Amino acid sequence: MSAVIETKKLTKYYGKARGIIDVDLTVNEGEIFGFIGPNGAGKSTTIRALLNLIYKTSGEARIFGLDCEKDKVKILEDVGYLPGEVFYYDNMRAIDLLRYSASFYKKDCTRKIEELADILQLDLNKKIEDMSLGNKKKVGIIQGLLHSPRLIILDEPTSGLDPLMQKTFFDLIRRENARGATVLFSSHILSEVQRICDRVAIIRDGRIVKTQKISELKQDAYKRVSFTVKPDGGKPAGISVEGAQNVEVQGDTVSFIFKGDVNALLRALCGYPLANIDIAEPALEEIFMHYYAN
Amino acid sequence: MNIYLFELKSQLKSFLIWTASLIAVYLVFMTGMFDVLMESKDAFEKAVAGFPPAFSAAFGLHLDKLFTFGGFYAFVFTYIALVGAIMAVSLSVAVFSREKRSKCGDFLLTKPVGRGTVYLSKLLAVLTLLAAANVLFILVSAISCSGSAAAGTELGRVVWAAAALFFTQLVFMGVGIAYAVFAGKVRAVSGVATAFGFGGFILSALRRLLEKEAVRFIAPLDYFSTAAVFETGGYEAKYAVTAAAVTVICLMLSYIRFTGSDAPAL
Amino acid sequence: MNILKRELRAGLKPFLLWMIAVFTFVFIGIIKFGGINTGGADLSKLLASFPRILLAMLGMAGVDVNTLLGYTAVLFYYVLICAAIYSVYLGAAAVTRESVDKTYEFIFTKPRTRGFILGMKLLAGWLYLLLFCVFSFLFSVWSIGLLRVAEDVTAQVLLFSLSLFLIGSLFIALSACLSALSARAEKGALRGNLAFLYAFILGSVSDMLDNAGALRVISPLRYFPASEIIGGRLHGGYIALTALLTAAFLLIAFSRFYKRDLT
Repeated sequence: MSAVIETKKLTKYYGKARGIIDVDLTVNEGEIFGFIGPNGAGKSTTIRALLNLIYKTSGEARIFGLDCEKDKVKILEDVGYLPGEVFYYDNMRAIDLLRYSASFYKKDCTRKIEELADILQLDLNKKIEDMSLGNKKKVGIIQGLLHSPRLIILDEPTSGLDPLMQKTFFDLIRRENARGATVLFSSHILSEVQRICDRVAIIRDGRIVKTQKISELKQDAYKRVSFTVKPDGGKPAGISVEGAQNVEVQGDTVSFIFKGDVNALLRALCGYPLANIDIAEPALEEIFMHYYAN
Repeated sequence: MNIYLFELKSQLKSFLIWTASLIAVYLVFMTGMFDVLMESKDAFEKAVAGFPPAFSAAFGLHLDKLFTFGGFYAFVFTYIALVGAIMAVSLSVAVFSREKRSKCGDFLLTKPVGRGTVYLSKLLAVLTLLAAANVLFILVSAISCSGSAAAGTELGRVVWAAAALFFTQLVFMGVGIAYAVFAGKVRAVSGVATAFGFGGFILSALRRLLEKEAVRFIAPLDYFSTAAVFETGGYEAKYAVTAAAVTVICLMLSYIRFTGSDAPAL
Repeated sequence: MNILKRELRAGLKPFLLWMIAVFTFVFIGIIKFGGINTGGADLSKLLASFPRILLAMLGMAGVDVNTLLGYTAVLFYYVLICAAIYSVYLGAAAVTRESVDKTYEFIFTKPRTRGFILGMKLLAGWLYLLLFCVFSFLFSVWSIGLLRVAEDVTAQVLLFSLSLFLIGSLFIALSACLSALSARAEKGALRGNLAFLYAFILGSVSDMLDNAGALRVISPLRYFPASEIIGGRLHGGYIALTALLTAAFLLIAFSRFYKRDLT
């Protein structure tokens, strides 16, 4: 297994402002790698440094074993990139933009463009500026995939896509992955990353906090639990079950983060006269709090 | 190559309109107005005859030559060059700020081409358009000067005088590119072009009013004097060198900036 | 008030750049007055014998550059060009800036009417135009003071500055109107600048004619010619025309701006 992306102590400062600090990242060939963190953590900075849109302050960044700054052109032959916000030239039809995009690669991309437009149900003859946000995004997706790249870099790609289209999009990414493409997928939505990725790196305040397999993360699966007791049930004092953390009581409502045996949790909950219950994935911040606590 | 063609295509319409305006302005001045002016030649010469010779240099005018093709050419060149300057700035700012204006820098920079290649392709596109416009302009000049009013003017000098427009445009191209590359935001190409063009025009006016040689170094529309061409057959070396230096420095600085800076996040 | 404040802050930098340019131009221009080498003869007489076309192209039609007033008038024509270009920018920016910056969703979802927001933006533009004229006046009077001449031209310089403001106002309104009528922001600015170019060409043409006649009505840069200002007056009819056109363009701009789709 060879590394497609490899960074060593990659650091970027914008003047004095922090971008990223000592980021070590290894993405292996053929995997779908999640890159997750809250807004402003440094996801985009890392990606933009990898793509040589910005120049690193120090450290090392390699793609396909080549240096990201020196061999940029060679690398980009085989990279497809989809930014979070898509902006394209004014006054152009989608097909014009895609043809222009295709003209940068040494292969015929016509078939692939048609195929992708078909899957995504996009009318290529419309002007891009007249399209909805979601359709602009589709143009972006096709634009990033039309040359069948070996590495696909996605920077918060799902915003603006409806759930159905999100599914189509994930299927598309899986298909590209099956074809042999490696995927770097940045997001701030944990469920999205869990849905598709093999491994995940968590970034916060410009530093990689942890890299782990999704399967391990799932074993670690935290739940955010909150329940409300009936008004006549008396004030709850909290909950005592193994694995409950950060317990907070507000009037009739108890909320906490839970990691452990769900059967034990359910048994414990049965002891209350419940009015309502909510078991959800914790917000990313709460997971980070956990990582900081440890 | 594809970037080059893309830019050519995108600027084609604007190029055609500008080239047509340039030639129209030239024809209005050098055929229409020149003929009208020639009619008042005798009366004017009689009136001026009584003035001392120092007069003839006032406002940079060469009164004795004014009623010749070359003299009038030199006189109206500021106006022709004004149109040319606006055109050059407009084309170069449009081409070099295209990604900045539509916020799609990421699109182009994540394609497998070096930033140097992007810069050179764009530069080449602007140069091609300017060169094409000037070939037409020189052709029209050469043909129109074979008319009666201009009889006796050496063709080679007419071509050199017309070529002054090209060199002036190169200076403004350099300035325009530097502006497009260094400006944080480019909101309206037309506004920038108008401001730069008339900025040059006003500097030329200032130079004429002040009659100070030094001012000419900051008056780019006057770098290539057509008066000198009709007199000596060439440009004045020190201003030609200044023009070349300004252009090269602008291009070099913008190249360094274009290839070496972080692409702005959206 | 919050919108006005923000707009004023956003417009400060371009304003200062324009002011520095105008100041430098006026200062150098006026300080050098009298430097024209005439070999001791009467320049006025020479110029009088020039064909009008030539004078027009020198920007000296109808004025005697040998006098301080005439010379100042020539300089002020170039300041007027600056004021007009700046006004085109101000008018177009008021209408299209939020669209160009893609921030229109932010500002136009605030609890204010579109007209109020546009009004505030235009007001900010107008304040800058006013400052432009006031400073041009002060620069000129100060520079002329440095010449230590006995002649007092303050009244005429004031009239020049007033004409800057009137014509500038017309261009702000015209440019705002054209931008409001254009679907795309870039087109609006382009039309505004073309309108200025058109005015410039018409101005030059009407200079070339001994009697501009009806042409004057459609060449705004020549609504208040130097000859009249030197004579100590602004043409009342043209003040009225300027005000009328400004109001009409503003009306169209506002009504169109209310109805259009924001993109």
